[in-house]
This record gives sequence, structure tokens and C-alpha cells, in this order.
Amino acid sequence: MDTELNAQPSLLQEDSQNAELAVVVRGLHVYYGARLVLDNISLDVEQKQVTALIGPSGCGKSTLLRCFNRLNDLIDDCHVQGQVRLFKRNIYHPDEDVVTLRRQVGMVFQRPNPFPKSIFDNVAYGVRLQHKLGARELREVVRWSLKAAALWDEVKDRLSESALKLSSGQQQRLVIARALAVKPSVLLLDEPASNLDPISMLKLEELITELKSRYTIIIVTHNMQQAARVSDHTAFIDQGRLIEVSDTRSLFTHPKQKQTEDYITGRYG
Amino acid sequence: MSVCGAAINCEFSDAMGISMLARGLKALNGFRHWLNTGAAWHWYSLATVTLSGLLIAALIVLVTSQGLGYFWPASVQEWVISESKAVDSPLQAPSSQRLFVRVLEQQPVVSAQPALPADDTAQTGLEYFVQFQEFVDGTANWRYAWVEAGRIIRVTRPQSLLEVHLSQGGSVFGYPLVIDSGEQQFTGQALHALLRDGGWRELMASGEVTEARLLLRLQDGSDFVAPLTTVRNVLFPNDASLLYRVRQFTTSLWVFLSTGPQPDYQGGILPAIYGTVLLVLLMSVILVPLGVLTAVYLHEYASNNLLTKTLRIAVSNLAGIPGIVYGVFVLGVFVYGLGAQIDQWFFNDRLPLPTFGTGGILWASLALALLTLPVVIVATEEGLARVPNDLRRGALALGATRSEMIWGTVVTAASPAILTGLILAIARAAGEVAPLLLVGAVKYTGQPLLESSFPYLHAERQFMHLGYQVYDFALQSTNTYATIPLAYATTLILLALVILLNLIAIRLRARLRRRFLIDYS
Ligand SMILES: Nc1ncnc2c1ncn2[C@@H]1O[C@H](COP(=O)(O)OP(=O)(O)OP(=O)(O)O)[C@@H](O)[C@H]1O
Ligand SMILES: [Mg+2]
Repeated sequence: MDTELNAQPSLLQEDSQNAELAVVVRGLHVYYGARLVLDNISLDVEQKQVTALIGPSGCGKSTLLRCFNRLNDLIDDCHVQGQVRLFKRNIYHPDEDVVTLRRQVGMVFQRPNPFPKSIFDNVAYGVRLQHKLGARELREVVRWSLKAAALWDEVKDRLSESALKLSSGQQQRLVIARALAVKPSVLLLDEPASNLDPISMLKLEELITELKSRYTIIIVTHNMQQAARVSDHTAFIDQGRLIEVSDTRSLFTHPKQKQTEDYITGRYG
Repeated sequence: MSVCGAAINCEFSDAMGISMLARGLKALNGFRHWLNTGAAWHWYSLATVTLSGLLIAALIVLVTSQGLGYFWPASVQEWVISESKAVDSPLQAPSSQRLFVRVLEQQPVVSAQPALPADDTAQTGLEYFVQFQEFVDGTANWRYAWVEAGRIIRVTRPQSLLEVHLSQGGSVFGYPLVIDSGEQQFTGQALHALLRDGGWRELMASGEVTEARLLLRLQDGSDFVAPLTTVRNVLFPNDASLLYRVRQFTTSLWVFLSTGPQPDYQGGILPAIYGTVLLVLLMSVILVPLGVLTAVYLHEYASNNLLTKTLRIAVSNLAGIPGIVYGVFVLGVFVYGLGAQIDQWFFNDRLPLPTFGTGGILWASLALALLTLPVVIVATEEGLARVPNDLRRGALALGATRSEMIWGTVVTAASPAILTGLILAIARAAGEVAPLLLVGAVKYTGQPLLESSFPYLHAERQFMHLGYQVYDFALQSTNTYATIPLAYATTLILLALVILLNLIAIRLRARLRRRFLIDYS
């Protein structure tokens, strides 16, 4: 591992000149116990663009996503080596304040995980942690977030009900609203559309396109059309290795790697 | 012998034996198949449920019937007994000829010696255990004796016999003769109606006639004068009307619930109800923060190493320590240690009279809190374990600190489990007497725990407790005949109280669950 890490300096210098990058990953290795699940990933994520991560199930997409807000720290036997830099800041530096980091990097989980609280309190949760807002301002933030997540019309009359009463599609949009409410600069979406009907999915895609002007978005998806529709860049990961990354159009039309081509045309496996 | 007989049928029985064996095997196979389906477990569990259900039902029926029976007016008989036997009876036998008695028990005579031939009444074979009155210096005392049926010459149940409860304790049986209010005299039907329907109270309450008195004819024929102001209640124990009996039943139940104790086991247990509820509330106030903090530390903060596991096992096993040990511990460490220190610092002027340096409801609730701590810790930990990790990650991903995540999300999600722990703890604690014996529970105290002036709650004071009353009635009494029914009645109230407290907690939990729709705890 050490040799690989040492091999990076030239790359680091190179990208530090690029002001457009929100996230820079260099030589990232992730182990669960002794098992290597991410193998030497190096990836650039451009600011205010949508980057899609695609790849077969179990290849390590979620793990990679969790490296961006250091949520892997919570997994006892998970070890991370290498560098992840967010706006030029090494987030795995010992002085890094993870709380601040996570306020900056919002995340929507693969499985919807609303808190056992009211709909309103769910959306207001992150906001309340950061700011002391007045009741009116808070309500405004909640309304904005729910509207942005295309959920407002369905829940505006039942904000005080338990969020667990919502359907799983609604819960998915609720956790998106919850993440939007804290206005992060980077938004990580782990298969946000997996529980959504086609219409909500299109709405969500519209939302992502809209949010792009303000946020850097990294989205994991199993849906090739979706990746093609919403993303500017696409990275294909297989068995913990980053196989190919380029702008979405060329990746889907002219994949350079055989593996990528097989995967996007459905011949994978 | 029979071998010959068997030989004759040898062939026949062989064939039959084989076919029977085959059938038996088939049946056995069928049985084994049935066992393998697991259907038997259905019946095992059903049988077990039935058994435990029956045992619990029997206990409840016993407590309820005995407890409620205490309030049901028991009839009083008028006996005329032959006096000759009273002299040579070794028991404290009645000496008067006419007696008002309440029969408590009856049984066949068990006498080691054969009845004397001269004894012509020995054949009757029954003896009664009775409660009756004896007058010493004008006050009625309860006496108890076994009386052989043969000695009873005549038994009647006079409808007009009156039972008078006196306000300073004790009661008197007698025939009402007259109420003399100074200007008016009530006798006969008017007197009966007055006493039966509560009119005598108005006579007493009217105020203009302070001298109103009730005249009773006692069993020995003498008269007893009771000023109406000294009468707490009157009733006709032999009145045939069911409605009247039900009314008397509710009255005495109400008196039991709503008044303090009186001498001679009259009166009620209100201060003990008070004390018990307050004790349980104080205990909960100490218990929940302690238990929840411990459980959260063990489950959320501590890493799951050997030390944590050892601690966890130690905590669970605390539940196995006998209650009295907690009493001794609190007495030694808190009452004599901390309490004495508090007295020196803050109540120096009152020394050597102890304030906190002696048993009190605060120390008792502390002992109970320690006793039930494992229950809450274990239940809370279980609840925390059932909170999905996604919830924790969700909170952290929104920029919550660890503490914000734990206290703002995880503990809320585990709150129904915490309440489950509290429910179990209350059920355990409310009936626990042993730890209270040493740290402040008393048979009687005149000092109220709650006052309307500062400091409102006197947590240092001794207190009365239902469980302690039961213990005292059942085991400490010199007159168990009078107190065992009281013990049952008190047990019934305690049981009802525990159920009530639990129902409140269960409703609270149901509300929490409904509000959050939490299905994982
Ligand atoms: N907490 C964990 N402990 C051990 N191994 C884990 C853990 N989480 C994930 N893994 C393993 O790491 C690998 C990558 O998992 P990850 O969840 O990142 O895959 P993924 O690409 O998101 O898959 P999917 O598309 O199914 O969500 C898998 O083989 C998985 O078994
Ligand atoms: Mg995943």
C-alpha cells in the first residue's frame, strides 16, 4: 500500500491547480477487516456537476460514497487508506472535524431511514442542529426542502404525523428533503430512486438537474438510463476497482474498456 | 396353573400378537410423525399457559374474594349458651349467658380424649370459632373463643341488632332502644328508620341538639349510652335487604380507602396508599435517569469489550440479590453515612434528633431504585439494540454530534422500551417490603409526606406503605383473627394500585408507539 501511496505526489500537484474540483480521491483503499473492497481508487469529482457511480451490486459504490463523509468511521473493522480531499482539504486528516464535514456533505441512504419523529421534525432535524431559527424561518426551510424533494403536496396537511407512516417512496423523498434542508455543498445520493414510481423518479431527476446549479452531486444508480439522463460524468466500478471514468456521453456511447461496454449493454456477468 | 391355559391359546395369541404389534407399530409411527410435525408443541404450550393461567386466576380469586369479603357486612348472631361449661373450659370462654357473636370458623371437634360419658353434648361434634364482645370499664373489647355446638341452647339472628362504630375506635353490638335529642325521643319504627337510612347523622349535624344520645341494650342486659357525636357509623348486620348490604359494603370500602387508620383496626389505609404511590413515583424519578444513562453508556459509548460485557452480566445479576440486602446497603451507606453528614451540614440545630440520618421515604425509594435498576438497564439496552444502525448513521450524516445523535434520536426511538422497563420495575417495586423494613416504612405515622407549605414534600419523613401494612397485619399482629382479613383487603388494594400504575405507564407507551409508529421496539 505504501508504495502506491508514495506514487501519488505527482497527481496531487497536478490536480491542486484545478479549482473546479469538489472532491479528489487519490489511491483510496478500503478494507473491511482483512478484505479489500476498494482497491486504489483515484477519482476527480467536478464542482456543481452530477457524477454517477455505476457498477454491479457489491462492487463498493456505497462504500466509496461513505468515504466522502467519513461515515465508514462508524464501522468498527473498516480501515481507509489513501486520500480524499474535499475542496482541497484532506478530510482524513486527524484534525478534520467530522461534524462540520458531514454538515457540508449531505447523504441520502440506500434504504430510506426516517427518524421516528414527525415529518416536520425529520426535515428540521439537521437545521435545528446548526442554527437557532425562528419558528417561521424553520417552517419556510421545511417547506422549501419538501417542495424541492417533490413531497410537499402530499404531506403539507400532515406535517405533525409520524414519518414512519409514509410509504417507502415518500420516505425516500423525505430523507432527500432532510438532506437538502441543511444546504450541503456536496450531496451524496445512494440509489435515491430505488423505491420510486416512474413519475416521482422523473421528478427527482428534474430536481437533481435543478440542484446541480448549487450543489455538487454524486449519485449511485443501477439504472443506466437514469445515469445517462442526469449525470455529467460517470464512473464505472467493478469489484472494488475503478474501471473507467469519463463524461457520461462518451462513456455510454464509446466505452474504452470491454468490461464497461459489457456492463452498460447488459452483458455483464 | 395359568401356564397351561396360556399354552392352549398359544397359536392364537401369537397371530394376534403379531397383528397387534403391527398395529402398535403403525400407531407409534403415526405418533412419531405427529411429533415430527411439531404439532405437539402447540399442546405443550397450551397446557403450560393453562396451568399458569389457572394459578394466577386462583391467586386473584383468593385475594379478591377474601379482600372484598372483609367489607361485606357479616351477620351477627345472638346465642344463648349454657353456662356450666364456661367454668371448666381451658379457653377464655364466655361467662355471660347471652352473647352477640360473629362466627368466623367452624370445624368438627378434634379432641384427643374420648368424650366423657357424662357429657351429653359431646356427640354434636361441631365447634365454632367466634368473635364476641367483652366490656371492661365501659369499653368493648373483642374476644375470640372456640365454642362447642353442644353448649349452644338457642341461636337467633335478630334483624334489629345494631352494630355501632365509635369514632375513638371500637364498636358495640346492641339493641337500639332510643335516641334522645333532648327535645325529641325516637323509639320503635321511627328509631329503626332513623338508624337505617342515615337520618341520625342529620340529627347530629343539625347542631341545635348537642346532647343527642343513643341508648343501646347490650348482651348482658345492661345499657350503653353513646352520644351521637362519638358515633362514626351504625349498621344493622342482619338486615335482609341486599340493597342495604351493598350500600354498607360500599360505605365500608370507601371508609377503608379514604380515611386514616384508627385504633382497634377501624378506619382505613389512605396514608399507606399515599405513601406507596409517592414511593413509586420517587423511585421512578431516581430510577429512570440512572438506568437510562447506564444503559446508554453500556450500549452507545462503551466499546463492546470484555469489561463492558462483564459489567453487563454484573448488572443483570444484581437482580438476583435479595431485597433486604438493598435495605441494609442503603441503611449503612446512605442513612448512616450520607444522611448523617447531611444532618451535620444542614440540620445541625436539630441534632441529636436525626433528619436525614434516619429512615425516610427518600432512602426507601433509593433502595427500591437500586433494586429495580437492572430491570430498566436491561430493557433499555434491549431497546437500544433494536434501533437500526441506519438511524444512527442518518443522524450523523446530517451533522449531529454523537451525543445529539444518541439523545435526540436513538433514545427517543428506544423510549417505549424504557417504559417497558419502568413498567416491570414498578410491578416489582410496589409489592416489595423487605428493603423498606430498615429504611423508613412504619406501621403508623402522623406526619404527612405532602404539605401545602414549603418544602411541600418531606422526603426525609417516615411513611406508611401498603406492602408493609400487609406484612404487619399478617406477621406482626397479636390478633391475627382481626388482621388477616385486613391483610387480604390491603393486598387487594395494593394489587389494584399496581395494576393502575402499570396501566398508566402502558397507555403512555402505547401513545409513544402510536405517535412514532415504532415497530422495532
Ligand atoms: N459493514 C460491512 N462489513 C463488512 N463488509 C461489508 C460491509 N459493508 C459492505 N461490505 C462489503 O463490501 C462490499 C461492497 O459493499 P457496498 O455496500 O459498498 O456495495 P454496493 O456497490 O453499494 O452494492 P449495492 O449496489 O448492492 O448497494 C460488499 O462485498 C459487501 O459485502
Ligand atoms: Mg450500495
